[in-house]
Amino acid sequence: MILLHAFHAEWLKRKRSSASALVIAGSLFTPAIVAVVRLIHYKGLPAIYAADSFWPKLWRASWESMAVFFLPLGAMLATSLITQIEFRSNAWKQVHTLPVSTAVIFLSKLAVIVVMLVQFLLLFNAGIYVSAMLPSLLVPGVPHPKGSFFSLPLLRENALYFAAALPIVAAQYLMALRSNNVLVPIGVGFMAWVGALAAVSSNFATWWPYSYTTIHYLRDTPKGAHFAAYTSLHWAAVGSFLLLSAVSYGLFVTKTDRG
Amino acid sequence: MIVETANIHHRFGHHDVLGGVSMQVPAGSIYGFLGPNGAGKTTTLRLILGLLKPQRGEVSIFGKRFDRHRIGILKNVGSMIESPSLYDHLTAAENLRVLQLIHRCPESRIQEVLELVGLGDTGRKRAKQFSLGMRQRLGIAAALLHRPSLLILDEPTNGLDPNGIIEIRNLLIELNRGHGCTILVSSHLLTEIEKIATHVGILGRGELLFQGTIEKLRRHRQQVLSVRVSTSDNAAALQTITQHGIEARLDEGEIVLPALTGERIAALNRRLTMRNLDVYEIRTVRHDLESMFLNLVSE
Repeated sequence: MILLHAFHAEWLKRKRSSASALVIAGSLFTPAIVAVVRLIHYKGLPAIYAADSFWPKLWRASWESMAVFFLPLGAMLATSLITQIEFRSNAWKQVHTLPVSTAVIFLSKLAVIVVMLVQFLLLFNAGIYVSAMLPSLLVPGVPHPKGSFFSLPLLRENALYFAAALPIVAAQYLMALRSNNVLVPIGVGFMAWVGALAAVSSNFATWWPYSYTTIHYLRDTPKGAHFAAYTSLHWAAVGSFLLLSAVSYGLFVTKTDRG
Repeated sequence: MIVETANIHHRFGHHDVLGGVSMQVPAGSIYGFLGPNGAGKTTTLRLILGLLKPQRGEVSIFGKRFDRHRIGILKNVGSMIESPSLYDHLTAAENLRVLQLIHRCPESRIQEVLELVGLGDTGRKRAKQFSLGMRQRLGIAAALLHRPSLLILDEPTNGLDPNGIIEIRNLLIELNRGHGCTILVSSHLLTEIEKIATHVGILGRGELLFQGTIEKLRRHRQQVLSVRVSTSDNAAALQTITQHGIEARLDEGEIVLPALTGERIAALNRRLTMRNLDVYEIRTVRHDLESMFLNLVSE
């Protein structure tokens, strides 16, 4: 029960925060670009909208930038910014003098970040749907897209991307809890993401949690054919998340200076 | 005792900040925790609240060991250490709502404490737009939200204007007398503490140099240190005084004598007037609390 109240309190802290704005902007950016580009180049739309593969193609196209860029960077930035609220507000000392256990403090904040990740994916899905429907509503002659958005394996795909992003959340959470300077987790996270981009051409990337969302996207493409046999990616992601979270909690609970 | 520390030590690196502080805060008191900047007041308060782990010694609150009953103890403790902890992107009410959700006190209490500290009409204004004084008041409101029986405040009047200082002082007195709240308040200003405290602890160089009631401190103050005399001819008066075996000297246009009894002061006055010297003033100089405080911490 106290965990629920603590979660509610943490959820309130993210109101009007830059992390909340980032979740909205990051999740809707690609769909917005897709919609704008289609509205500008509307002449070829009737053929595209009449194709049987309309939804799978839009889904893949939208996920390309999301899997490689927005999802890992969004998870990295949102986690760092949410955690840094306490440092920026000089509030760790207040948090640690509340009548709750250290585990509740740790878990409630992590839970808020995880829920924000879900929110990010939900908004992105809604954005894809709206980006598809807008041209058919606004441009005369563009038919309603063939097939249904809901025929896509939405739940499975979102769950797999969600799992693939979890290690980034855990790693960033660990760093952000340790450093009172927001630039440290963001800087290290950015370098880790660049390292992931460099690593995806080889199988070493499977050892690098920052590359999991990219691998998940690439393995159905010729570029990522070498990952096709790597079926335990999401278990590795969940395992890394749990391991990093456990290390993070261990460091958090043994901290001698609490604000 | 509501708060009791037993020989707590703390060191940052190779620097000893606290060298065995045994503080005792009685129930129902306003305990003024005095000391110059850097004396270790904030470190002591952070140790009491568990924000730092004692390297040696023990902290007990409400008669229970803090390390063993942390959550139960914190349910009845309100605190503000150094600057207030505020979420700048939230309003005053939202800042308190975050805490109210944890303390599970009635939601109506938020407006109540905001009114109490004079922030009842801040509405949708965010904390980042607050002045230093308003931030301080909101920090105090946060500490009071759940009606704690022990309030620990570190320099709560920092940044407040004279009117604000008086209001906070009256608020603390009201909380103590009207609601029985024990208050541990730190300050480097003796004059401020003197006006509200029932008990005082003076910390200097990481050690508790004085601890006791404010009356004990005042009794010390009542001791006469010297007598100062001003006459129409101080040189002649000085000669008369020394002829009668009293050590005296001239200082800033006055004659300074050691402490004398009332009878001896009256006899001295008679002697001076018999010598046709006009006596303008005879006054006793007592312990000034400020100088006493400075003496304690600089010894």
